[in-house]
Amino acid sequence: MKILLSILMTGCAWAQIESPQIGVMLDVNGRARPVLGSPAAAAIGTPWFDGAVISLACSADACVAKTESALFTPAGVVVAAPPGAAIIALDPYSPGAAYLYFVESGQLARWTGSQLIPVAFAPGGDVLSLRAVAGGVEYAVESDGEIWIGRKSLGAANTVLLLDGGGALLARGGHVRLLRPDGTERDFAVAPAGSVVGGFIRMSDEYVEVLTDAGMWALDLEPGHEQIFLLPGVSH
Amino acid sequence: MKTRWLCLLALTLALSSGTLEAQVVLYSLNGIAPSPLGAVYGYGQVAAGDSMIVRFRALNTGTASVTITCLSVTNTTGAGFSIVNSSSTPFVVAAGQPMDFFVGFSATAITSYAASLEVGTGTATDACGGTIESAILLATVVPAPILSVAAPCTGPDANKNISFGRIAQGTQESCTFSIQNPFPQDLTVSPLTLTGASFTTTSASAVTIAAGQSVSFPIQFSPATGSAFTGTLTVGTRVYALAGTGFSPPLSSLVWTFDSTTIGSGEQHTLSLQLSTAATVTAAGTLTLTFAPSISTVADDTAVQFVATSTRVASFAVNAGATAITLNAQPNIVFSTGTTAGTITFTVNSGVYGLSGSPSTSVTTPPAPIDLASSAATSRANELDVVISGFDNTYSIGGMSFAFVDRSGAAIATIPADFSTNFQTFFKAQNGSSFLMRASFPVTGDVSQVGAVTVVLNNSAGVVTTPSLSFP
Repeated sequence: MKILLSILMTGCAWAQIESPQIGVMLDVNGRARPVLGSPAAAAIGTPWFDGAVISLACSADACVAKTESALFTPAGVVVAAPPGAAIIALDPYSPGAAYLYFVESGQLARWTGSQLIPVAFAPGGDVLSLRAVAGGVEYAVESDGEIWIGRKSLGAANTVLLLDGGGALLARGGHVRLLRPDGTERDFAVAPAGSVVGGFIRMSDEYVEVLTDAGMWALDLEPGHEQIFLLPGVSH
Repeated sequence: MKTRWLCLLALTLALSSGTLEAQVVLYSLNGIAPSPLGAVYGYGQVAAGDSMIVRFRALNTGTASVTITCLSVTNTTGAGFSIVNSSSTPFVVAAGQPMDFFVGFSATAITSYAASLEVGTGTATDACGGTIESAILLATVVPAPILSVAAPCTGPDANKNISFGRIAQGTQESCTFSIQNPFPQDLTVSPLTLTGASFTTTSASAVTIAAGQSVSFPIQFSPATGSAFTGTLTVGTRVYALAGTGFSPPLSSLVWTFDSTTIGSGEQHTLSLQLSTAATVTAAGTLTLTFAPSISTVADDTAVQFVATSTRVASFAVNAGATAITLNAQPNIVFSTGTTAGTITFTVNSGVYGLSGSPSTSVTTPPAPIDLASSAATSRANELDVVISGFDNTYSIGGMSFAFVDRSGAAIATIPADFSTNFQTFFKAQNGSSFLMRASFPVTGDVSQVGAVTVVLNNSAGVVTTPSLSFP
């Protein structure tokens, strides 16, 4: 064999097996819970902590949860934070870090993994979503009934989530539209007739939780695997 | 002087004590009415294996209390009589008061039986001495055929109850009854009679059954109204109670609609329900889901459930005049098939409203090859890692092979592996068959020359192959 390499044979190969985690969801009681198993046959785990989460974002490398007055991480880091909800953009360029926009105060801050550092920010409108880009953040605002990123309109929507790498999720009524950076789109009918998508939560790199008044759904964003599943409920 | 009065016809005795007098008189009770007990009491014919219990009473008819120190049944022919319930002795019976006790009889040998019953008022050292009231108890055991009943009827139970269940009024349910003769000689069963409105049979009033054989006959239950019906079936010495209920169903038969005709594991599906004709009343009840795994080592898969509520029960409701049924107040309901092969059964319980036709339907998730959700390959300094996630609804995953190629696509090595033990240990500790496997291969040499790996995974239902997984 030309290659100067030997792979130790079967006896040396070993396997570690565990339950797959789809991501972290926010349940109807405001608890952050891990979602385990297969997407269509998922089970929900015990909450991180006994407190109501109002904002949440998770990736393969990090999770940040916002309660009324503090930030939490699964590792147990807790710091005081401005009151109310926050829009959270995990930073793919710096694992564990994130940008947070505090809706009530209009403040932007960078989360280093252990502390919040204020960032000067003048968005010129109500920020609906953030994403980290090289050297800063990109954000979406609503103006004249449409969602705008800078000078680019994404059209009308009642909620939006900017995705890492340039894509976006837009919801209107009970439908969700996935915009890929390459310009392709996918549509998903989520909620029963008459229901409305109320928001998105980033569960992991691959999944986004879609919140409706009729249940919580997990949208698989992986190209070629785009599917939507109903998440297990705890009190509906 | 000790005196025994076996077979004594005189059944009462006066105990004199100055001006006070105690006197014990024995009675048998059929129901609540006591009858003075004669010298002999007959239990009559008792079917082999059956039991008969008779209540007796020792009544103090005197003006002073009396202490009963002895209460005994002595079998004199065979062994079949026994005291099954009584107060413990010595027992003081006040003037005018009774002491009741029960004597049972049961035997299997076909013959006659006798025993003596004694009630004594002797001393502590000679409890059954002194004055004794007694009687002879007699019984005859006769051959008893064995009655069995086929579904949909149930019974007979220990109390000889047979149920025809609930059926819609105006319909008929027929159950087959069988009488077996377990004895080595012919057996004539007589009488063989049926009573009760709504119960009919074509059976004769007596039947002779050859040794070791059995005869069968149908009994039909035909409730004309929505109410409960009872009857009796007399089979020789035994009398069985028949019961059935008729109901008027306001709900027609169910129409089950799934969003797909093919249902497999690891899927979510939508179920909707309709009535075949409009409901005559506004009704409500429950829809229940149960799961029976086809994998012998698995007891359940809790992921098989109605997803929105994480439960296996949902409410259903239908309005008068409507055919559409709402489930948890929605027009349909989403359920998960879990990650275990098996049968999912849905059952409607319409409670008091009644339902025509079957209340249940089932779908089966067949054993399938391993379902791969994701697969990837990574490398570290001295190791190659292959990460695969998915589920195996057969729980038989373990055997696999890893075919490594170099950066030009030329084969390096194909390594078989058997991680069956790892997987079985893992499955025992979790619910469902979802897994995330990280297989690691220690390497010597230049790891960067390894370009990709293809993994073949086996289970009892087939083989799956990953795409070519490139190492970064």
